[in-house]
Amino acid sequence: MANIKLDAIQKSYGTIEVIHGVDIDIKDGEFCVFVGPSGCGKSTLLRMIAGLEEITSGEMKIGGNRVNELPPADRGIAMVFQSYALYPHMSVYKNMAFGLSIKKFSKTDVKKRVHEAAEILQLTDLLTRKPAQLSGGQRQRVAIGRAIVRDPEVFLFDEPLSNLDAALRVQTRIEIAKLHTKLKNTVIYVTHDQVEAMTLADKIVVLNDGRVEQIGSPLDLYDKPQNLFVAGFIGSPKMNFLKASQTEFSSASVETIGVRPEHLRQTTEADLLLTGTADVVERLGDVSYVYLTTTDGTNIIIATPGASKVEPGDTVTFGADKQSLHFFNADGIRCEGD
Amino acid sequence: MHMSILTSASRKINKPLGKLGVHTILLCYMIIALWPIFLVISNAFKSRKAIFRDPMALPDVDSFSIVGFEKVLARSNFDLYFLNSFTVMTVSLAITLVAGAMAAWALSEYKFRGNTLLGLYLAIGIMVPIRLGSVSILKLIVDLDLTNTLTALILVYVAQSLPLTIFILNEFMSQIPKDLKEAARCDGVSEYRIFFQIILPLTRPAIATVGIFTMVPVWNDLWFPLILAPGESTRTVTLGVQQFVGQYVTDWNAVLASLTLAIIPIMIVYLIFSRQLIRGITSGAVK
Ligand SMILES: Nc1ncnc2c1ncn2[C@@H]1O[C@H](COP(=O)(O)OP(=O)(O)O)[C@@H](O)[C@H]1O
Ligand SMILES: [Mg+2]
Repeated sequence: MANIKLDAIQKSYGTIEVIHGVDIDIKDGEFCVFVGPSGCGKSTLLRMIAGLEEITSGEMKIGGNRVNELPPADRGIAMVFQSYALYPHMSVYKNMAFGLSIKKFSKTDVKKRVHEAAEILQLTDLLTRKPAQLSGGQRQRVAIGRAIVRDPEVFLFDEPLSNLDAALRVQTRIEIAKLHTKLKNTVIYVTHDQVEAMTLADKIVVLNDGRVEQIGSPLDLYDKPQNLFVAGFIGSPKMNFLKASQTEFSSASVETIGVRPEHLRQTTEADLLLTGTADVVERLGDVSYVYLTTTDGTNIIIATPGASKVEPGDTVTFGADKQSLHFFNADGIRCEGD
Repeated sequence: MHMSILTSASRKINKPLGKLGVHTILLCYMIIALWPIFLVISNAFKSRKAIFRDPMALPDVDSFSIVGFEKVLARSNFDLYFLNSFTVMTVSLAITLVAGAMAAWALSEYKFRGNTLLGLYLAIGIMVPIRLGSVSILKLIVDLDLTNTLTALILVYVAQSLPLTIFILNEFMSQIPKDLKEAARCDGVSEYRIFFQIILPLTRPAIATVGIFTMVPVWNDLWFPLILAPGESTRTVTLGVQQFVGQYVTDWNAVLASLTLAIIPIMIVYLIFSRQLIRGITSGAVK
């Protein structure tokens, strides 16, 4: 059993506090994604779980045992680094076997494990090559293979796809998802890309500036973002924000209204109506993004069907129903509109 | 990494000078650098008269003579000097590289009290020539009862070479990506294995460079053999040659012959190290 529990975890470098008391509960076998903008402390948090960074205060438990003082090797984790961290002077085989030979596995056992992992990751033909002779995607797979052979309780990934090109990123993302369904280990995966987070996660932890903004399933975060930060961070293109005072929903408690681009449609009959001039229309085929400047000067993005007839310069009206609107109070916290 | 620096540098040079220009300059430099060595070797195979008559000429049928080599091998304990030099060089090189690499690793990898201070203290050793301490070194060696031993020379040469070795290797080791060490630590690899199986192989080009830097001055040194180990049984090649250099007459045949012989071992060691250098550069691509 490898559930992970972070209890009021704090981290300071000297006098600078970068993680301000984080509580996270991750169940055994769960795929948990830490997502947040660059510099928010995702890597620091992951490295504390791995044991590569000291925990300033708070308690970390893996499988119910306190691990604060344990070295990385005794935590039952395997980490995949952003830079892959392959040993450049060792062959693919040796890269994967190196960690095992230390653990006193028999030679045949090491061989069996490496070949099994290589099979899963389609690396069998590459076992004798050096990392320098591999493509980016292949190096990535070796890095994952090195983690798999150890059969850890927990996999830790730190932005594993950020060095790959777009096509390979999608492909590897799917491979990681498949791998998780097959191996069923607990996974903690760090990324700044909310699409990766949404597609992979059972549970997403949104971090900002060393604090947890919200924890929930992908659809939780999409449907009920608890604050402005999460609302703006999850979803692509970003949610539109309007001052409540400039709409029909003006009230004492509501300061900001959020509406996702895909929830606006061309209509003159809806609870919320926005009229403006289309500046740019991006046609992607299945969908066309209209960039609208409303009469009061707010910039809005609308996702319209691919066949939409809106042209730049047109004056158009879009609307959305009340149930698809998000209301936030003066502190940026989600509230119910009236 | 090395390759990209090389190619970008040559690309910059390409425009004003062209490949031909670069090679002309390098060729000139090579001729200037190799000319004295060439003179030593070619004159070593000439008779005494021929050396003085026309020092630039190559040995021919008339002037060819190996009397110098005969004298060196017959009249002196050249093979003993040779063995002494070789022992001193290899042992001090080995100690310097092992101790230096370990110290550099400790300084670059572990944060401990006085880390920076220790680094600075060692850096001062680069700037202050060890010969300034000759008198106290001699006293120390006499007190330790190590005069006329190769051990004395080895100790002094290790002390002389360590500062620069640590400085250069420290620089190199701190450039090894942190992720590599951390990946190994996650795998439960001990610090010793990280050092010997990851760090050392990756710093091999630097170690080869440092090796060459340390070895040449040790091989060529005359000063410390002269004051610490002048006895017949512990003489090094450089000191042994001196018996042919007299106040009034110098036996040039013998001097040039022994210098020629002295080049051989250092050439061999250099070849070993330079192969490592080249291999290190081509297998680079750390990422
Ligand atoms: N060794 C360090 N010393 C001081 N500050 C650090 C150190 N490592 C990271 N930080 C700071 O901690 C914050 C979080 O860093 P990091 O966890 O790497 O962010 P992320 O992975 O989310 O991009 C950053 O503001 C960074 O400047
Ligand atoms: Mg990071």
